[in-house]
This record gives sequence, structure tokens and C-alpha cells, in this order.
Amino acid sequence: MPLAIAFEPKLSERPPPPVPEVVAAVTFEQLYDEHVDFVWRSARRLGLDASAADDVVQQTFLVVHRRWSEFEGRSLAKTWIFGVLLRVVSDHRRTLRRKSPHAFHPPVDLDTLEDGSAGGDPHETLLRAEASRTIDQLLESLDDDKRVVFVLAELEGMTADEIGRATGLDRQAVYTKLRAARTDFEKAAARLRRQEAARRRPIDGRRIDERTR
Amino acid sequence: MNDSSDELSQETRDLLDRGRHGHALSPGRRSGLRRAVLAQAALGTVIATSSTAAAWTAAVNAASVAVIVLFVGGTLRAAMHRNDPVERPTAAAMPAPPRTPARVAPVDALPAEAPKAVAAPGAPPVATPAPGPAPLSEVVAPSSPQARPGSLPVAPGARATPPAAAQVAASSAPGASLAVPATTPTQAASPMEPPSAPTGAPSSLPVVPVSSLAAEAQLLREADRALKAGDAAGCLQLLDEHARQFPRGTLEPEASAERVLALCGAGRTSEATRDARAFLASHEAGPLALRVRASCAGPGL
Repeated sequence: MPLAIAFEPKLSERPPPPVPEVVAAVTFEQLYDEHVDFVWRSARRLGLDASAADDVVQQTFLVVHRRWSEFEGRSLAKTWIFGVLLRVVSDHRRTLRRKSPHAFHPPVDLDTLEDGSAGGDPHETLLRAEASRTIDQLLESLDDDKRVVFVLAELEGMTADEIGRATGLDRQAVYTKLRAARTDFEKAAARLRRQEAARRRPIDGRRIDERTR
Repeated sequence: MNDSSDELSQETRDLLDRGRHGHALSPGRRSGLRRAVLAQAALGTVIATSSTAAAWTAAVNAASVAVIVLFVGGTLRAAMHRNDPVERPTAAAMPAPPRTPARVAPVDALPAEAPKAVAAPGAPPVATPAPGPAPLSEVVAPSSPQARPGSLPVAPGARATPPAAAQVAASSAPGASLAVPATTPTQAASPMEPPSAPTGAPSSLPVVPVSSLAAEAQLLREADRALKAGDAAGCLQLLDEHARQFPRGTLEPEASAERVLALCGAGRTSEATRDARAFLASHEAGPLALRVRASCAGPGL
């Protein structure tokens, strides 16, 4: 006890201990709750329909659960979990492709309307849902790697370092891919805007009907 | 990472901003997924701690996951249908569209061993080799000991223990001591933990700890096994035990459905019908409901 008192002034001069990047004693459930939204929307943006995303989210977190003890804060949980997701998605695609080449992207996805219905202005909600769907459509024009980098950078707001950790790409590769992805995405967006403009001209009301049906 | 916007037009940027929050999880799907993941994780943990080998063999894994996939796959669908804000009238009459064979719970009773499900989607990813976080070892070595203590809230032996005991086991040393560089002679959890950080203790969480889910899943699995073996009375006993131990259990719908089947197995058709009616009142769609309807109670509904 006297020792502690003797040391106290010195301790107080030191800088405070660094805040650990991974919070102590995170339970699996906390980890799950914190990241499930991210994993879900990432799976969707990587091109999985809602039911495939169900499977992939479950599988991702089972792997996370199993390997969690090895995690030890070597990277941020979010990027690490995304790395797991990428593996699972790629396995999933392989299996699916073997089964049926048409299993991806079913024409109608009942779940999309229910997405984003988190209250608020219904018109705004509709616009957002529409934008989200347009983005999905445009993402289809990117190849897999570019798509991943683009989603993480432009939609998730990750830094190049974080993207590197999540994907295993080095920093330079991240930038290269991101630039290429942006170019491709912009081209696709411009093409779509031209098509939309051409389609909208004749009758404006019809499109909204089709969309909300 | 919005530094260089050369490649993107303002219109596209606006589109991205507007659509950024798309793909929100609907509440029904969220709760269904949560139950499914936690239950599957819990069961996996049970198998892991009870097997002698440290590593999970694919076979052990598949066998365990198969059962819970059928169980919980049903849960997921049932929960999602139950909470689905967009009511689909046909959902009660039709099974969910099968996209992968093993996800859809069979209409008849649960298969005991389900050999086909070994190739189920639940199994392979668990057996997949390490995802690639390994090369990313740059950060946060100092924080790793603190990242560990709570890690898997299941200590060896937590399997059959009641939830309270399991929690105690989880919050005590083993996880923490692993991460401590073995210089400290006494590897208790306390030296590494700041004395003023009681908030991180797993037992203080409002959520169900995985270990109790593990116990719950285990109990239900035993009940199901008993029924499969023709021991309906034993199954009912285990289900009573389940109701006692987990009055608000995560897997309550599974237990209720199982009880209907067990009552059928015991020849107590009228009770089965009564329970089935109660069950369907709150779970009218989904694979569990299908199983209940296909049981001996079905004609009386």
C-alpha cells in the first residue's frame, strides 16, 4: 500500500493507457448484434438474394464463432468478419453454380420492398429503396474484386487500410481496383440514366406502377 | 475513402448517398436470424467441448449441424413468417420455396441422423479452412489479452450445467489465462483486467448467453432423439424438463412443436390436438407449423 502511494505521482505523469481497439470481454452475441446488419447488407450487395443471404449470414457467423478464439484483436472485428463473409460467399457461389447457373438473381425478390421500411417519410423511403436497387443493378456491372472494394469504400465508408485488411489486398491494389471500379460504375450509371430518360418520356405514371407493384 | 471523386459524377454520388442505407434487415428476419445463429453456434459449442479431439472433424460437425439446421432452419422460417409485416396469405398453405434441400425442414418428423444433411449448407463452411485474417497481424497486440476473457462463454464442462453455472464458468479464468503471457505465476483472470471494468462481465449482459442456448439446444436434441427411438414418454419428460429450465427459452417454438409430435407418439391424440391448436395460434406458418399439421393432430384441427 505505501508502495502504491509512493508510485502514484509517477504514474499520473504517464500518458493514459491506449484504448484497446477491441473492447474487452466482447461476447459472441455482442459481436453478432454489432455486425449482423453490415454482414447482411454486404451479402446482398455482393449479389445474393435474400434467402441466399440468410444462409450466408448464418454460415459466416458460425465460422466467426468457431474461429473467434483465434481472432485476438489482430484486426478490427468488422474487417475480419468481412474476410470470413467473402470466403463464405465465394463457397456459396461455387456450390450454387454447380447446382444451377440460374440460381442467382431471381427476377422477383419479395423482400426488397420490406427492406428499408424503417419508418419515416414514405416517399423518401421509396426513393431510398429505389436508389438501393439501382445501386445493386449497377454493382452487377463490376467484376467480383472491384465490386467488393467499391462496396466497402463507397457504401461502407471504409478506409484503404481497412479494405486491405478485409480483402487481403495491399494498399496500392485497393486504390487501383477502386479507381477502376468507380470508372466502371460511372459508365454503367450513365448508361442507365440514358435508358431511364428514354423510357420516361412516353408515359411517366406507368413506371411507378411497375415499381411498386 | 472519398478522397478522389474524379471517376464519379455528382449524380452518381447522390445515388450512392441515397441508397447507402438500403438492405436494412427487417425486424422479422433479424430476430429469426439471431435465433438461428445463436442456437447453431451454441450447439456447435456443445459438440466441440464434448468431443475428445480439439479440432472438429467434419463428420462430428455435420452430424450436429444437420440436426439443428433442421430444427433451427424451421425456427428461422417460422419466426420470419410470424413477424413478417408483409403477410403472405399463401404462406400457411405452402412450404417456403426450397432453395437448398437441407434448409427446408421436412414435412414429416425430424430425421434422427439425416445423412443427406451432411452435405447440407450448414456443414461445409464450418469445415472450410481459415478465412484470411492471418496476414493482418499488424495491430493491437497489447489489447489481445483483454479481447479474450469473454470470448467463448462456454468453458469445458459447461455443456450440461444449468445456465447460471455456465455463466460463472465462463466469466472465470480459462479464456483469460490463455491470453496472458505465461510470466505471471498465478494465471487468474483478475491481473489483466482493470479493476474498474465490471461492465464487460458476460454475466451482466441482458442477452441470453450462448452457453444457456447450448444447454437448451442439447436438451431438445435429446428429447428429439428419444422420440426417434420410440420413447415418447421419455421425450415428454425431457420437454417438461425444458419447460422447467427454460420457461422463456429461445427454442420454445421447437419445444412446443416437438411436444405435439411426442403426444402423438404416446397416442394422446386429443392432447396433441389441443397443443397443436395452441401452437398454430401463434405460429401459423413455417416448417414447424407444417410438421404440426402433418402430425396426428392434423385431422382434428
